[in-house]
Amino acid sequence: MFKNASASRITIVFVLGVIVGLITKVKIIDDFLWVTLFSLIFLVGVSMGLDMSRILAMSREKILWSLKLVIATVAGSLSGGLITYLLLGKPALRYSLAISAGMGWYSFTGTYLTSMDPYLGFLGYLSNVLREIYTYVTYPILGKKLRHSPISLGGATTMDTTLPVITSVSGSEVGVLAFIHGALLTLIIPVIIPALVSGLLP
Amino acid sequence: MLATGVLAGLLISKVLSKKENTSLMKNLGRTTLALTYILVFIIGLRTSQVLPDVLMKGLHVVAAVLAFSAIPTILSFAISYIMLRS
Repeated sequence: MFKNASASRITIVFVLGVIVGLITKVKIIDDFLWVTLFSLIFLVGVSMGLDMSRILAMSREKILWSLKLVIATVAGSLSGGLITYLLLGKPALRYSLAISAGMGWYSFTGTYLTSMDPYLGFLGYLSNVLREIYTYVTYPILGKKLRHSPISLGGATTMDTTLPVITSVSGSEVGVLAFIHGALLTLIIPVIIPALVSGLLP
Repeated sequence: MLATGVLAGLLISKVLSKKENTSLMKNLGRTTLALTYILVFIIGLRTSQVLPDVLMKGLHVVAAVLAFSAIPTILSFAISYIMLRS
């Protein structure tokens, strides 16, 4: 996810990074990485704050539906991480849960995990980019048959990159739910992933 | 950091007019996009350091990426389908 960053462009930037890294062997200092990540999180917060009046103006019923979707998305993502860990045996449980807890926010998950181990960052980044792509592919099929539940497919991306697909398939009413769902997940993810990695959660 | 951002956004939205708000949102969108590209580029740079290791693992990496992306996505959908049906 973020703000019209199409999957193809993001892939090109990623591949470019790999090529430049292989040629120059340049090493990015962690401080720069953290400053960039925190700046991104701060700006995401500001844009959510600017949009907050719009969210608060929505009916309580819509917010409740979105909350149900958020609970389902978080539960599904974390149990997915647990099952993957049980199937593959590595990386360690807390990292497996953290990768799946990215819920589509690849720039945050990839960067946060890459500061610990570049391999984990690679897994966190690619798995979450794929989640966005799966949503692009499957939502038009599922969204026509089922009204609300397919929103969970997109995770945090439903507030920006996959929102146009959701709105065009299911209409603006479902689009509003998708936006709140994505916004709430965007608030939760920067709390869940560090908590999981630091072992605060079981 | 996120909470500080949300508070700052709330305060700004109270001070600015609707037109200024929209213009700020556009600029924020552009900046977050630029930061996203920078971060993805850095992830690429870092991945290059472990690329030989990733290639050595071969099938295991492919399986891990597919499992970490598909299983959470399917389960999220399945749980929300069950929850919203009841």
